[in-house]
Amino acid sequence: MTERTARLRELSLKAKPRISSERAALVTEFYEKNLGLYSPPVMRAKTFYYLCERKTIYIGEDELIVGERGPAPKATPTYPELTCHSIEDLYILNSRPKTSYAVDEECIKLYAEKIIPFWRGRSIRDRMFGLLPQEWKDCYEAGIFTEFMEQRAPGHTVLDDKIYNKGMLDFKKEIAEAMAGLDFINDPRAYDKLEQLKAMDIACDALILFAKRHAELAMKLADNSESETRRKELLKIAEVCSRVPANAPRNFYEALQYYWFCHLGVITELNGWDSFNPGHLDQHLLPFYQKGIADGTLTYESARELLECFFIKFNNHPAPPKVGVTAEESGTYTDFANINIGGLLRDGSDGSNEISHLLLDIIDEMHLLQPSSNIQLSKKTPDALLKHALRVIRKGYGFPSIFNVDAVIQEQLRQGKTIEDARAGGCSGCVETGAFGKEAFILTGYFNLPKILEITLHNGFDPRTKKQIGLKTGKPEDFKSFDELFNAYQRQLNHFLEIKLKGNHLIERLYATEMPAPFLSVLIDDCIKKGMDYNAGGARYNNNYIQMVGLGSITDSLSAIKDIVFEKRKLTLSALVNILDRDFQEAEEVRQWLLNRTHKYGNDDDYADSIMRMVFNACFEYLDGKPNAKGGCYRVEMLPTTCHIYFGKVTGALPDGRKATLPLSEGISPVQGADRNGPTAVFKSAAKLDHIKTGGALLNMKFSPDLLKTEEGIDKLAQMIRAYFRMDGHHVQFNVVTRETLKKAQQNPEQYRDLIVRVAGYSDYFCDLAKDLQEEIISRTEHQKF
Amino acid sequence: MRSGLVFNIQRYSIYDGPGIRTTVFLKGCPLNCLWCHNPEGILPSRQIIVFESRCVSCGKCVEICPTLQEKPRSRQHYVGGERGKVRPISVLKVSECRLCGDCVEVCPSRARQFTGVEYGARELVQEVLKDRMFFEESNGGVTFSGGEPLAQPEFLIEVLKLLKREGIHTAVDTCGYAPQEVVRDVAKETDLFLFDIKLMSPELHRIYTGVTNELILENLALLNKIHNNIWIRIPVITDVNTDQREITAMADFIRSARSARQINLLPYHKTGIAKGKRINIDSNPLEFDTPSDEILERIKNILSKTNLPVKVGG
Repeated sequence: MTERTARLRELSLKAKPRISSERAALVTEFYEKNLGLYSPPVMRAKTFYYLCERKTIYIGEDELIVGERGPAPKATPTYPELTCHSIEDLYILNSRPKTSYAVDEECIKLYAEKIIPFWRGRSIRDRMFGLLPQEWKDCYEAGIFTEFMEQRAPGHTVLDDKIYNKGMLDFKKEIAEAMAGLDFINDPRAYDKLEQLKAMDIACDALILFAKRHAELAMKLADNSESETRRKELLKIAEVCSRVPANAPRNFYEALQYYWFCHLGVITELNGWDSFNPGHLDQHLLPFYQKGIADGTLTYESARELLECFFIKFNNHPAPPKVGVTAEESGTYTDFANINIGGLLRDGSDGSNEISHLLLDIIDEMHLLQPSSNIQLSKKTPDALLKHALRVIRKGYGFPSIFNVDAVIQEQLRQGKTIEDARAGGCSGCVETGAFGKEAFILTGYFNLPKILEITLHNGFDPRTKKQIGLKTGKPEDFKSFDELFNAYQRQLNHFLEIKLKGNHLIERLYATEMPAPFLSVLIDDCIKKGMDYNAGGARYNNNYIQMVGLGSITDSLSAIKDIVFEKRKLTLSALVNILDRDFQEAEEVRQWLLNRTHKYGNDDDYADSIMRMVFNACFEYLDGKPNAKGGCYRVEMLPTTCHIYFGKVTGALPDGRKATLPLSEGISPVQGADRNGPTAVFKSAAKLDHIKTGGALLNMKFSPDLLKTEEGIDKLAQMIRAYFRMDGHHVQFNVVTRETLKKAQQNPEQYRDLIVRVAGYSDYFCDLAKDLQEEIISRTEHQKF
Repeated sequence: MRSGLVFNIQRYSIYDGPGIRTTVFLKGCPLNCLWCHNPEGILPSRQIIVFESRCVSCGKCVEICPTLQEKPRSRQHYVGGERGKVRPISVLKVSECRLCGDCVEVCPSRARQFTGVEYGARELVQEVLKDRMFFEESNGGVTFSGGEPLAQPEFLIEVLKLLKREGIHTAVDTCGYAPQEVVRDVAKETDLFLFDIKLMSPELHRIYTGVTNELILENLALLNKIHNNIWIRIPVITDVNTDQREITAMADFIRSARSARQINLLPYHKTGIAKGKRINIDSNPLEFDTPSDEILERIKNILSKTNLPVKVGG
């Protein structure tokens, strides 16, 4: 870091997230004046223009890359047209212990007097809950599934390389051509398309205006600047902001600033999930970098400083405030912009380059919460890049995560994309696969697999909300075999997926018709060509995901039932359900048996792993290929974010020995502590899932820093990852644990059963070690500061 | 088909030879080193092993035990240990145990387990091949350790042959105390020896390990002639084999070993003590000091005259 970026970083870290009511006030003002005057897309475009025209422009001291979504770093706007927060919501946001946002009295007053009176009943969330059927609401309240679009717009997309070749003026030309090509005689929807295209055109103007206001402020600040150095920097900022985004960028600086304006445009227009994302940043920047180095206008150091300024911008932007279930399923300030490093080029050759390493160095040095980062590893990616990444990972930040490009491409080919579009794609958010710049790949909600077993074991009844929300598939004593029980589970699963899908269609159409995203549509192919909005199916590809949660928990639960009820017959199913209903009270021995003496997923044990495949196949058979409302299909995703905690809270005791309300397993990782055969066995089990049939599958692993201390340790981890990817694994990420974690592991061993530590000449499970040995290892770890 | 007695199969072993390996621990060892870190591998027969921290004090093992004469009448009676915890192992004296396994069968938390499982050669091969993908990516393979793998020679050789057919790299981690013909036969089938040298003085060797070292050193000399890939492993035990004379003698001996490729120093660690208590809670083995970095550095220096790479750790 330079002194400048160190100061900017400090400022970003210290700034406390707070709610800015400016956006809410401007949007409300505009809607009050103009409601009913325009078609929805034009209304949205003009709202966006109004915001770009009037919002406070911020240029901080020291900054080289400029632009904030709010009036200052971490001042976070609200989106009352989507979610109209109540006064109570605002108080909760202000005071909750985790992920709070400061709310001032002025904001509360504005909400009470202006925002709430206008938006209550009009916001998408209010309308959605008014339209959704009771059966949907019952399932939602029971914790069968969550709904991504109840507080946030779809979003979930990533930019490709188009902005590095085209300015907004070029996009305006394309829009004009599309308008000229409309056939008002043979295409009865030509007028709809015209409105969409008009809206996109206005959105382009809005972003140009937004940049121009930055240029003007920079000029003004330059005039008043006492420092000659800063005056020159401000003049440079003014020059860059006058050039982009109207025109294509000419150099490294303009390229970064241009992306950043697009990013701000997308997250100002709506609060789409996963904010937005530059995608293959290293590939996009390489030509500008090489040109700058060659003509002497750029050095490694100046490029690095600009990139550092760029990274800090992401960190200045916490996720929009989430409340209720949405806050539970995604309880983090992170907004999931996830930079892809490495990968392949469109022609199939290795896409990693010197900027890939530069990005890793920056991630390593700055270790900011945002942006997230990942390595896109293909069989063509040099080991040097993987090892560089592992040297960052071993410091214990949990990033970058590692993706298997060769699997990601196969997944996309299966979804019907061209090989070039697939290669230019990658992963975003947490682990989602998508074709960058050409796809709406929408997460629609988490789905609680173990809860459905609980419902099945109670003949369709939810013991917590005391409602018959499922089908009557039989009482526990009715099931004569494991297959009969699994059959009932599958019927319940399909029943709940059906309710979820019906709700999704309704919500999707609501966004398509009422809440288009004209600015985002400019950036994603083929919205301009089709004259169709991103939220309505304008993108070239439209895959929707439902994210399955608790694969390990459901597998181990079914495996335990199969083993002790139907095979060993130690217990009848009704007796087991009875014990579960009492949350194992007076039945600790049974719980220990379930925990320790049944087959568990994650041990390369086919008994359990084959049940995992049955569960996955059941999800896949029902969901994959079902149509969504944008002309695309549904796909299965295996991702929890923080939802396994929330789903755990609403799920009773499970047959795998887990007590009621405790977390479920996450992603495709084994149940916490259930894997006892080491990391290779976990990889083997995880690879028995057919990753190519998913749109992403998240695997978490914990390692002690000791295992990665030496270069040899790094080598072996790299080789292990290569082997997992040879088996088509989609993704893996590593927690390299610290002393604090080991301490916690000592206090709550059950939650840390899978923690592997190097003891001496061998590795062992930390929790199996005698207390004194644990102490010894804790003291060892303490000395290891990397 | 031969069968063998295995007390552990450790996947992702990364310190027992090159690459990512699966280490198979064969039960039974002719030595009885006072610092042994795998004491459950010494006896060439099954044993019951107890993980005290996993015990939930249900008392099932005590109830079912056919040997135990005086059974506590109620749950209350088991509760004698710390904070009301049952300590079943202290009730069941190892010497009286007939290894019927009833207590293992009823234990809900796997606090009581057998150590030592019979494997057929093919069955074992099938098990270790599970990580083939990892061996291939890392140029790893399978290591046989123990206990003493050469103490089950027919089984070992059969498994080594089967693995060779599968193209898997193998290593044998040995204390070197075995008949010469066994060493000769195994040398034909394995790619690498991890050969322990503990002490050069025969008398001290006898005191600390139970046997003298002539056969061991002869076997190493023999291997030098018939095998070309040996890694020397030296357990470093403070004040046992850390003095100048011992190490210098080792260095001189190793210098003559043409097939030695590297030296690994394995610093003493105290895991053996906790493990010893798993087979016999009343055991009271000697405790040594873990060698300091200075000691290791000094030893490394002396051994450097062998011109072989010297590594601390596996």
